Formats: sequence, structure tokens, C-alpha cells
Amino acid sequence: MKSVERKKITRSDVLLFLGKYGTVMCLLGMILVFSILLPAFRSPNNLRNLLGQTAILSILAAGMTCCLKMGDFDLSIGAIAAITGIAVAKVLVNDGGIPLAILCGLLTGLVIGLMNGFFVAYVGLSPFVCTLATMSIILGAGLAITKGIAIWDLPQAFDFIGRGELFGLPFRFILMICLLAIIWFIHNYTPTGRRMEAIGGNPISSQLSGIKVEWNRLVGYLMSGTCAAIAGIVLTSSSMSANSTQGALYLLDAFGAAFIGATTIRVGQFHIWGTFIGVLIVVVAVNGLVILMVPGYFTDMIKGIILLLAVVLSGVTGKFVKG
Amino acid sequence: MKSAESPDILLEARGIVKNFPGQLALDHVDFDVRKGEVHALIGENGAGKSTLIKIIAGVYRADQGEILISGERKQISNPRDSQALGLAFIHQDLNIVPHLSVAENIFLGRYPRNSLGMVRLSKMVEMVGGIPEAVPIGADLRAPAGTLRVIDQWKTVINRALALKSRIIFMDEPTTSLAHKEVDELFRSISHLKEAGKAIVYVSHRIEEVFRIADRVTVIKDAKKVGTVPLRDVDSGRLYQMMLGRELKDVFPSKEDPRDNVRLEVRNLSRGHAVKDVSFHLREGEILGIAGLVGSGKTELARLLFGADRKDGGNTVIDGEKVDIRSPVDAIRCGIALVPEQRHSQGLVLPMDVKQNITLASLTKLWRWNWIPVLSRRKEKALAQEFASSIDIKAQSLNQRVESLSGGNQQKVVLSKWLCTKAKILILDEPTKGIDVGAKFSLYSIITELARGGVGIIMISSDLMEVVGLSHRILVMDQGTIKADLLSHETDLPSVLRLCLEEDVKCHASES
Repeated sequence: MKSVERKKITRSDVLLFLGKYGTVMCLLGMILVFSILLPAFRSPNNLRNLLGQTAILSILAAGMTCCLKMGDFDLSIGAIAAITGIAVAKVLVNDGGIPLAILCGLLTGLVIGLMNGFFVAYVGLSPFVCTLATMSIILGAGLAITKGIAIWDLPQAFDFIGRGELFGLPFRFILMICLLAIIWFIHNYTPTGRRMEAIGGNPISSQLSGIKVEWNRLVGYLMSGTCAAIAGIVLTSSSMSANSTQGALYLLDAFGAAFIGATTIRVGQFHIWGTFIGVLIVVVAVNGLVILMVPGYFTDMIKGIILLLAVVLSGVTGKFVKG
Repeated sequence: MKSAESPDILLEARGIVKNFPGQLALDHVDFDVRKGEVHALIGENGAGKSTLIKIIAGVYRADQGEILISGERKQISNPRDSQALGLAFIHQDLNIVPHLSVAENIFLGRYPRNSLGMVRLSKMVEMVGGIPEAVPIGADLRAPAGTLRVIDQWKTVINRALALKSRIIFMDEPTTSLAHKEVDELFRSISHLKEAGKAIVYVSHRIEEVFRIADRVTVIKDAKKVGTVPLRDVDSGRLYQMMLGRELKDVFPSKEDPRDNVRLEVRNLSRGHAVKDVSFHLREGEILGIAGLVGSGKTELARLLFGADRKDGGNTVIDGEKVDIRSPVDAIRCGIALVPEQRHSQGLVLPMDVKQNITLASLTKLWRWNWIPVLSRRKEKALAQEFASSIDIKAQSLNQRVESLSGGNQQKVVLSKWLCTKAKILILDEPTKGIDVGAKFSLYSIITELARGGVGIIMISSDLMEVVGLSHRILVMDQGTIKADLLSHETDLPSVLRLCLEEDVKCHASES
């Protein structure tokens, strides 16, 4: 009897380990295989490029994680990134100067986050319906402002955010690391973070413990909106142009990354570094596939499959399916 | 009718033993049921009542022992077997399909069909009339069962049992979901079944009810049978002693008199039909028990006091100062705390650990150097440790998830969350629900100790024994109003129960 029991324990231990670190090992394995098989993958240029690519997606996904942590989500982040880019570009082409442009961009994200948060937390709309509506409104507004034509001719100095380098690393990567560190700190070391975690665990108990649930959910949407705005600024700076559709593609990737993150280390919970690992998985996989010259539609399919797997594995499916 | 016992033994369980991992659930328990009797099975939560029932039902398999039906030894290995032997089990959740009609619910799964294989509702309605000794249902048999009163749902399930020609009907804690008028109706149905020669096994932990309905009672305590006695031979004191293993007066710690200053005064508090014009006061160091049946407005009153629901009107005065409580945040600021009715869904954040749960309502006390809004792990640990040990929470460490604690320890975690906030007024809503006996006793002494320290305590409970035993004063609620205000040393359990059940008794609130 006893030896059987002992075997069982070791097996479950292995499963537990796999469950916790499976994604990390998957990432390392992918990097290893690509590095061995694809010389183009391991070239310093590509690696630097890779780090740069993680920036925009990580910033978006980190904001999304703030919402997901409390059982909310935000479908409008891609659209916020786009409209922020347009706002920034508009200010720049009208000679408003870079600081003012960035300020306007951040404000745009804050205001939309405030709107989402107000309707979801205080009015009680479903996050899905509300942020879907916001997304549509923003995309429409972006199209109306740009008339479907990309905005060019941004001042050369503006490209530092998206293309510049600092200490040999892409500036946007450093920016992202700082942002992630700040959010991680808020989540783990501040009363606000603790309250958000409690709300994610049980909103009713939290409310009956004197936590202002509505307010904290609103703050979550503000963080999500602000991150999306920052991502939008970085995106505009790296392409040196702005149009109304540029952020939309990131939504699915950000979701996928966050859910992969929820299967990492603290299984079933959304957390920033998990999300970051999720982003790396998505970016490395896509990068490898591109180098292998796999057609784009195929990459999209693979991304969808990764998202599906991650949602199932994260064990938080029930929470979202049942609403 | 209590003497109407016949020696006709329908069911006999002999020497039942059941082990669960790490726990002996039943230790050589004998149990028998006679024709035409109401046999009460009582015991504290976790004593082993439901395990015994589940073994008889074929849900669990006994490790040892045998079951005889009408003197014949039978193997019951699944619920189908027990059904075939004429046993019916009615649980609290009733197993009703809400959108199906009453008739369909009665014949659930055994619909009569015509030659085309179609189910005919009219035929089924007719067949209900044909059930021998059917209990009349006060509703349209074609109406969806979900729209019925709970008592009619009960009758639906009883009729289902009768349609299956059951001879013994087991009822598990039937009154927990019933309003007081409905309890009388259920008891009338039970008498009817008894006269029809059926046997009823009535599982409960409420001794008061047992006296109203049962002929014999079997007491189970700590997995062992204490004894089976005819009810005419015992009084409630004796039954409590059997059930608790000690005398009632030893269960509740002695309490000090409350102090003179009034801690909380509530005037004309109202919310819809749930709470109507409620006024009362609470002194420093006083334990105020609130009794009343399901739907009397006890829980609603607690939520209202705590600001969890919006009030329609009324005033709250704390320590002589008028306060406006609109949310739990306001209530906590005023020194009010609520230990809610549902520990898991309202009291705890299950995925978080012990220390995080304890400090959840006091996060501002954990700021670094008291002015930087960053949590100090050292302060968090110290604060949690202080209160966890003050009421003796048994956990492997403060980092253990509360999910994995026992019910009693979970309740202590909820309680220490409020001790952390230094609450002056503590509202306890069913604090001992689903908690084993030992933990109950220790909660009783904690509550008494808190009152001794000056905390005003409002204790809502459906366990009248603890309301009477623990409180200084008792409010009886009915339909959202306070019907009586009694001093506990001037009253006793049966009179409180009578007040709870009778609705037309006009009782003047004793002004003190």
C-alpha cells in the first residue's frame, strides 16, 4: 500500500511542477530549438528586434492583466492604442511638441479607461458588452479623424521612443521593463494591489470587508487604458505614422499572453511576470514562424490555438465562461 | 398518538462501521425503524447522522455491519437498490426540476406514455389522484414546480416517494428551508403519513422540533450512538445532554452583566418588506441574541446595520453620536463588524492565505512608517499573528490558504479579521453554522470573552439553544419586525420557540 502511495505522490509532484513551469520550459525549449535550427533567429539583430517586439505587446498585456486580476477584461485596448497614436500624431503634425503630444496621448487612454470603468463598475454593464462598444466607438472615431489615411511626417526626434536605444538595448524594451516592474510592485506590495487580489478572489467577501470594489475595478480600467495609451505611443513612434487600425491586431495576442501567464507558476491567477512569459512565447513563436517563412494566416491560426490551449490550461475557464 | 408504536420493524441497521480517511465516521451504530412511527435522528453537525443515512441509501458502503429490511438481510449498494426496497430520501435541496410541472415532478423519469411514445400531462394529473394516501398539494398540478411554495415542493417530493410505494421516508433537516406556517403544514403531512402506516426518519439537530413530531429519538454523537429513547421518557435537558455530552449550563460560559452605557441605538430602521421599523439598543458588553425563523428578516437586519444594503429610513446612533452608514466602509469606520452568514462566499477570500484574510479589513494599518502606502510584511505578520493566537486559530502557518482550514478555524479567521479592526460592535450571523461541536464551544467562550472586554455583540442564530444560552437579551423577529424583547434569564427555550412559531401573539417589548 505504502509504496503505491509514494509513487502517486511523486507523479502528482511531477504534474504540479509541469503545471507550474511548463510554460517556462516551453519557452526555453522553443528558444533552444530555434537557435539551433535557424541561424537567422540567433543573430544579434533579430534578438534585439525580438526584445523590441515584446515591448508593445507586453505593455498592452500588462494593462489587461490588471483587469483580468479582478475578473474583468478590456476588449478596447487595441483600439485605445490606435486612437492614442492618432491623438499623438495630430498634436505632432500641428507642431504641438513632443511633451504635449505624449500628455495628450496618456490623457486619451485615461479618459477612455475612466469611461470603461465607470460603465462596468458603477453602472454595472457587463465588461464584454461595454468594452466591445467602446472599441467600436473608438475605431469609428479614429476613422473619422483620419479619414482612413495614415498620418505621416512626424518630427524626427519623436522616433526615439520606438526606435532609439539606451545602454545597447531598445529604449522601448527598457520602458516596458520599468512599467512592468511598477505594476508588479503595485500588485504585490501595496494595499491597492492586495485589494485587487481580494476582489479577484471573492468580490462579495471583499466588499463586506470594507473594500471599495467599484472604485478598485475602475482603477483597473484606468491602468488598462493608460497602458494601452503608452503602447499606442510606442507603436506610433516605432512606425512613425498613425492610423486607425494599427492597434487592433494586438488584442488577441495580449489576451493569449495573459492567459498563458495564468498557467505559469501561480496557476489559475493572473500575474505580471506570467503575462510577460506569455508575451515572450507568442513573440518567439511568431518570430520563428516568420523566419521559417510560414504564411501569415497560418501564424494567426497557431496563435488562436495557443490562446485556446492557454485558456483551458489556466483553469480559469469556468470563471469566464459562466461570467 | 405517541403511544402508537407497533413492534413491526421495517428496517434495522446493525453494527454499522464507516471509516473515512483519517476519521471514524460511524462506530458500531445500531438503528431501527418501526412501522407507523416518526423516528428522529439527532446529533450535532458532523456527528455522523448523514453518513448513516447515506449508507442506508446506498450512497456509501459500510465497512462493517448489516442492514435488514423487514427482517431480511439486504445488500444495498446503490441508490436504486434502496429505492426498490421501499426507502425514499428527501434532502434539503429537494431534487425538484423547477420548470417541469408538479405532476411531471411526481413521476419524474417514469412518465406514462401513449402508443406513440408521447407523454400525456392530463394522464399524469389523473394518476396523481390515484397515488395511495397522497398528500394534497395546494397548487395546480400543471404549474411549474419552481413556482410553488417550498412546502408544496416538499409535498410534491413526498408524493413522488408515495408513488414509488416507499414505506420509509427519510427527511433531512426539513425545516431549514421552511417558513413557520409551512413547518406546521409539513408536520400535518408527516402525521398523515404516519397514520397511513409509513415510517418517517426525521434527521435534525433541532431538539425543539423533535418534541413536536417524533415518537422515538436516536442520538448520535462523535460517530457513536448514544441511545434510542421514546420521547415520552425524556425531557429536552436530557436530550441536550445526550447530544452534547454535557449539561446545557456547562456549554455556555458564565457571562458578566453588560455595562450601563448604550453602545448602539437603532431607531425605525426599514428596508422594503424585509425589515420594517425596527428599533432596539445594545449596551457595551452585551450579547443581544436575535431569534426568528427563515424569512423573519434577521439576516436582512444584519446587512442593513452593516451598510451592505441600502436602508429606506431610520437612524443609527453609536456611543451617543448619530452616524450615517451607507456602505460597509462607513460601518467599519464606525466600529461595526459583520461575520456574515455564508462563510465561504461572503466572509473569506478562499484563494488567499490566513494572514491576508485576517488583515484584509485593516490594510491601512500595514503602511510602512505609517505614511507610505506600501505593505509592510513585518507588520502584516505581526498583526495576523497577534489575533490568530489570541483566539487560537489552528493552522500549519499563517501562509496556509484558508480553503484548507476546518470550518471552525475558518470562522475564527473571519472573526479575527474584525478583531484586527478593533470593532466595538460585532454582528454575528449564524456564527456556528456547519461547525463541529468542539469549535462551537470554543467560539462560545471567545464571544463571551469579547463581550466581557466591552464589545457589544449582536448574535443571530437559528440555533435557539445558543441564542438562549449565550445572550443577555433576546429579540424575536417575525416578518421584518421585532415581536419580542426578552431578558434571557427570565425566559427559556420553549417559550422563545413558541414566540418564533406563533405569529398572532402580541408581545409587548419590555422596555429596559
